[in-house]
Amino acid sequence: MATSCPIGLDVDQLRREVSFIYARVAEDPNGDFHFHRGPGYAAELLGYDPSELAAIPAASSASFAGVGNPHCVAPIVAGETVVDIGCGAGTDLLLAARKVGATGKAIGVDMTPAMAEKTRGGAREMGLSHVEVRVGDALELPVESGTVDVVISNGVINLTPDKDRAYAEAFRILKPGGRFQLADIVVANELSEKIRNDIDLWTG
Amino acid sequence: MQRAGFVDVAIVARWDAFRGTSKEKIARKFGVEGVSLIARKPR
Repeated sequence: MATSCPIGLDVDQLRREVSFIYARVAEDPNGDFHFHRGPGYAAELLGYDPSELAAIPAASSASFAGVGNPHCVAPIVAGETVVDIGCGAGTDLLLAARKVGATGKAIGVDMTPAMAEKTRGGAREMGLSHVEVRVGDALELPVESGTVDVVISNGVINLTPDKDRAYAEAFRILKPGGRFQLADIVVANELSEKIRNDIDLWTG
Repeated sequence: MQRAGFVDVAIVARWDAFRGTSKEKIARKFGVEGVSLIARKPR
Protein backbone atom coordinates (compact mmCIF):
# COMPACT_ATOMS: atom_id res chain seq x y z
CA MET A 1 0.00 0.00 0.00
CA ALA A 2 1.29 3.47 -0.87
CA THR A 3 2.76 5.41 2.05
CA SER A 4 3.90 8.45 0.13
CA CYS A 5 2.03 10.97 -1.97
CA PRO A 6 1.98 10.80 -5.77
CA ILE A 7 4.95 12.44 -7.45
CA GLY A 8 2.75 15.15 -8.97
CA LEU A 9 1.13 16.23 -5.70
CA ASP A 10 1.89 19.84 -4.76
CA VAL A 11 3.35 19.20 -1.33
CA ASP A 12 3.69 22.92 -0.58
CA GLN A 13 -0.01 23.40 -1.30
CA LEU A 14 -0.81 20.48 0.97
CA ARG A 15 1.23 22.08 3.76
CA ARG A 16 -0.55 25.42 3.21
CA GLU A 17 -3.98 23.79 3.28
CA VAL A 18 -3.19 21.86 6.47
CA SER A 19 -1.74 24.97 8.11
CA PHE A 20 -4.75 27.05 7.06
CA ILE A 21 -7.30 24.61 8.43
CA TYR A 22 -5.57 24.10 11.76
CA ALA A 23 -4.85 27.81 12.17
CA ARG A 24 -8.62 28.27 11.85
CA VAL A 25 -9.16 25.59 14.49
CA ALA A 26 -6.80 27.48 16.80
CA GLU A 27 -8.48 30.84 16.19
CA ASP A 28 -12.11 29.72 15.94
CA PRO A 29 -12.61 26.21 17.37
CA ASN A 30 -16.39 26.61 17.16
CA GLY A 31 -16.22 27.21 13.41
CA ASP A 32 -17.47 24.87 10.72
CA PHE A 33 -15.16 21.84 10.37
CA HIS A 34 -15.61 18.29 9.12
CA PHE A 35 -14.08 16.73 12.23
CA HIS A 36 -14.93 16.56 15.92
CA ARG A 37 -13.25 18.98 18.32
CA GLY A 38 -13.09 19.99 21.94
CA PRO A 39 -12.94 18.49 25.42
CA GLY A 40 -16.47 17.06 25.34
CA TYR A 41 -15.61 15.03 22.26
CA ALA A 42 -12.30 13.94 23.80
CA ALA A 43 -14.02 12.67 26.95
CA GLU A 44 -17.17 11.18 25.43
CA LEU A 45 -15.78 9.56 22.31
CA LEU A 46 -12.06 9.10 22.90
CA GLY A 47 -11.87 8.07 26.54
CA TYR A 48 -9.99 11.05 27.94
CA ASP A 49 -10.36 11.51 31.69
CA PRO A 50 -12.70 14.51 32.21
CA SER A 51 -10.95 15.51 35.43
CA GLU A 52 -7.58 15.59 33.63
CA LEU A 53 -9.07 17.61 30.77
CA ALA A 54 -10.55 20.09 33.26
CA ALA A 55 -7.00 21.01 34.29
CA ILE A 56 -6.13 22.03 30.72
CA PRO A 57 -6.84 25.70 29.87
CA ALA A 58 -9.98 26.07 27.79
CA ALA A 59 -8.05 27.95 25.09
CA SER A 60 -6.09 24.75 24.46
CA SER A 61 -8.74 22.09 24.98
CA ALA A 62 -11.37 23.91 22.92
CA SER A 63 -9.11 23.48 19.87
CA PHE A 64 -8.41 19.78 20.51
CA ALA A 65 -8.81 18.05 17.14
CA GLY A 66 -7.23 14.67 17.73
CA VAL A 67 -8.63 11.47 16.27
CA GLY A 68 -7.75 9.14 19.14
CA ASN A 69 -6.10 8.93 22.53
CA PRO A 70 -2.36 8.18 22.66
CA HIS A 71 -2.51 8.30 26.47
CA CYS A 72 -4.57 5.10 26.48
CA VAL A 73 -1.86 3.16 24.63
CA ALA A 74 0.62 2.94 27.51
CA PRO A 75 1.35 4.94 30.69
CA ILE A 76 3.54 8.01 30.48
CA VAL A 77 5.47 8.26 33.71
CA ALA A 78 7.37 10.77 35.80
CA GLY A 79 10.78 11.75 34.57
CA GLU A 80 10.26 10.78 30.96
CA THR A 81 10.98 13.01 27.98
CA VAL A 82 7.96 13.12 25.69
CA VAL A 83 7.66 14.63 22.22
CA ASP A 84 4.25 15.31 20.70
CA ILE A 85 4.45 15.43 16.91
CA GLY A 86 1.82 17.92 15.74
CA CYS A 87 0.93 19.11 19.24
CA GLY A 88 -1.76 21.48 17.99
CA ALA A 89 -3.20 23.66 20.75
CA GLY A 90 -1.57 21.43 23.32
CA THR A 91 -4.12 19.15 24.98
CA ASP A 92 -2.09 15.94 24.62
CA LEU A 93 1.21 17.67 25.32
CA LEU A 94 -0.04 19.41 28.46
CA LEU A 95 -1.58 16.17 29.74
CA ALA A 96 1.77 14.45 29.10
CA ALA A 97 3.62 17.28 30.83
CA ARG A 98 1.57 16.74 34.00
CA LYS A 99 2.45 13.06 33.91
CA VAL A 100 6.18 13.44 33.39
CA GLY A 101 6.37 16.15 36.02
CA ALA A 102 9.12 18.63 36.70
CA THR A 103 11.81 15.92 36.41
CA GLY A 104 10.69 15.17 32.88
CA LYS A 105 10.37 17.18 29.74
CA ALA A 106 7.51 17.70 27.29
CA ILE A 107 8.36 18.99 23.84
CA GLY A 108 5.70 19.88 21.32
CA VAL A 109 6.38 20.24 17.61
CA ASP A 110 3.84 21.92 15.33
CA MET A 111 4.11 23.57 11.94
CA THR A 112 1.28 26.02 12.67
CA PRO A 113 2.62 29.04 14.62
CA ALA A 114 -0.88 29.90 15.93
CA MET A 115 -1.20 26.42 17.45
CA ALA A 116 2.32 26.54 18.89
CA GLU A 117 1.53 29.85 20.58
CA LYS A 118 -1.71 28.45 22.05
CA THR A 119 0.24 25.56 23.56
CA ARG A 120 2.88 27.92 25.02
CA GLY A 121 0.07 30.01 26.51
CA GLY A 122 -1.50 26.92 28.03
CA ALA A 123 1.81 25.83 29.56
CA ARG A 124 2.33 29.29 31.08
CA GLU A 125 -1.17 29.33 32.50
CA MET A 126 -0.56 25.90 34.08
CA GLY A 127 2.87 26.95 35.39
CA LEU A 128 4.58 24.13 33.49
CA SER A 129 8.16 25.28 32.97
CA HIS A 130 9.27 21.93 31.56
CA VAL A 131 7.16 22.36 28.43
CA GLU A 132 8.78 23.58 25.24
CA VAL A 133 7.10 24.11 21.88
CA ARG A 134 9.09 24.20 18.66
CA VAL A 135 7.68 25.21 15.29
CA GLY A 136 8.68 22.48 12.89
CA ASP A 137 7.77 19.69 10.54
CA ALA A 138 7.04 16.01 11.22
CA LEU A 139 9.35 15.15 8.32
CA GLU A 140 12.30 17.01 9.84
CA LEU A 141 11.81 17.13 13.60
CA PRO A 142 13.73 19.87 15.44
CA VAL A 143 14.75 17.34 18.10
CA GLU A 144 18.12 15.76 18.77
CA SER A 145 18.56 12.10 17.91
CA GLY A 146 18.20 9.47 20.62
CA THR A 147 16.96 11.82 23.34
CA VAL A 148 13.29 10.93 23.76
CA ASP A 149 11.54 8.25 25.85
CA VAL A 150 8.09 8.54 24.30
CA VAL A 151 6.81 9.98 21.04
CA ILE A 152 3.10 10.65 20.87
CA SER A 153 1.08 11.89 17.95
CA ASN A 154 -2.63 12.28 17.41
CA GLY A 155 -4.14 12.62 13.97
CA VAL A 156 -1.06 14.13 12.33
CA ILE A 157 0.94 11.49 10.46
CA ASN A 158 -1.99 10.91 8.09
CA LEU A 159 -1.55 14.50 6.88
CA THR A 160 2.14 14.09 5.99
CA PRO A 161 3.10 13.48 2.36
CA ASP A 162 5.74 10.88 3.29
CA LYS A 163 4.77 8.46 6.06
CA ASP A 164 8.02 6.51 5.80
CA ARG A 165 10.00 9.66 6.52
CA ALA A 166 7.68 10.61 9.38
CA TYR A 167 8.19 7.20 10.99
CA ALA A 168 11.95 7.42 10.39
CA GLU A 169 12.04 10.76 12.19
CA ALA A 170 10.08 9.41 15.16
CA PHE A 171 12.50 6.46 15.27
CA ARG A 172 15.52 8.76 15.09
CA ILE A 173 14.64 10.89 18.06
CA LEU A 174 13.74 7.96 20.35
CA LYS A 175 16.22 6.46 22.77
CA PRO A 176 16.86 2.73 22.36
CA GLY A 177 13.88 1.04 24.00
CA GLY A 178 11.73 4.14 23.56
CA ARG A 179 8.15 3.88 22.41
CA PHE A 180 5.90 5.49 19.83
CA GLN A 181 2.29 5.89 20.96
CA LEU A 182 0.30 6.85 17.92
CA ALA A 183 -3.36 7.62 17.35
CA ASP A 184 -4.27 8.29 13.75
CA ILE A 185 -6.56 7.46 10.88
CA VAL A 186 -5.75 4.82 8.32
CA VAL A 187 -7.42 3.55 5.16
CA ALA A 188 -8.24 -0.11 4.70
CA ASN A 189 -8.42 0.12 0.92
CA GLU A 190 -5.67 1.06 -1.53
CA LEU A 191 -6.50 4.50 -2.91
CA SER A 192 -6.09 5.34 -6.58
CA GLU A 193 -3.44 7.84 -7.64
CA LYS A 194 -6.22 10.22 -8.70
CA ILE A 195 -7.67 10.18 -5.20
CA ARG A 196 -4.24 10.55 -3.57
CA ASN A 197 -3.62 13.57 -5.84
CA ASP A 198 -6.76 15.36 -4.59
CA ILE A 199 -5.63 17.70 -1.82
CA ASP A 200 -9.23 18.41 -0.84
CA LEU A 201 -9.57 14.74 0.12
CA TRP A 202 -6.36 14.89 2.18
CA THR A 203 -7.66 17.79 4.24
CA GLY A 204 -11.37 17.10 4.02
CA MET B 1 6.81 1.46 10.81
CA GLN B 2 8.77 -1.75 10.58
CA ARG B 3 10.71 -0.30 7.63
CA ALA B 4 11.73 2.53 9.94
CA GLY B 5 13.11 -0.02 12.41
CA PHE B 6 10.29 -0.22 14.92
CA VAL B 7 9.51 -3.56 16.55
CA ASP B 8 6.59 -4.90 18.59
CA VAL B 9 4.15 -2.87 16.48
CA ALA B 10 0.67 -3.51 17.83
CA ILE B 11 -2.73 -1.97 17.19
CA VAL B 12 -4.43 -1.58 20.54
CA ALA B 13 -7.75 -0.02 19.45
CA ARG B 14 -9.84 0.71 16.35
CA TRP B 15 -12.89 2.97 15.95
CA ASP B 16 -15.02 4.93 13.47
CA ALA B 17 -13.21 8.28 13.65
CA PHE B 18 -15.64 10.19 11.42
CA ARG B 19 -18.91 8.92 12.88
CA GLY B 20 -21.30 11.84 13.27
CA THR B 21 -19.27 14.21 11.09
CA SER B 22 -20.07 15.64 7.67
CA LYS B 23 -17.46 13.26 6.21
CA GLU B 24 -18.89 10.06 7.68
CA LYS B 25 -20.14 8.72 4.34
CA ILE B 26 -16.99 9.36 2.33
CA ALA B 27 -14.83 8.02 5.16
CA ARG B 28 -16.80 4.79 5.14
CA LYS B 29 -16.49 4.61 1.36
CA PHE B 30 -12.70 4.70 1.58
CA GLY B 31 -12.50 2.40 4.59
CA VAL B 32 -11.12 5.07 6.90
CA GLU B 33 -10.83 4.14 10.56
CA GLY B 34 -9.06 5.43 13.61
CA VAL B 35 -6.39 3.30 15.22
CA SER B 36 -4.21 3.53 18.29
CA LEU B 37 -0.96 1.68 18.18
CA ILE B 38 2.31 1.24 20.01
CA ALA B 39 5.73 0.49 18.60
CA ARG B 40 9.17 0.30 20.15
CA LYS B 41 12.71 1.19 19.12
CA PRO B 42 14.92 -1.83 19.78
CA ARG B 43 17.38 -1.60 22.64
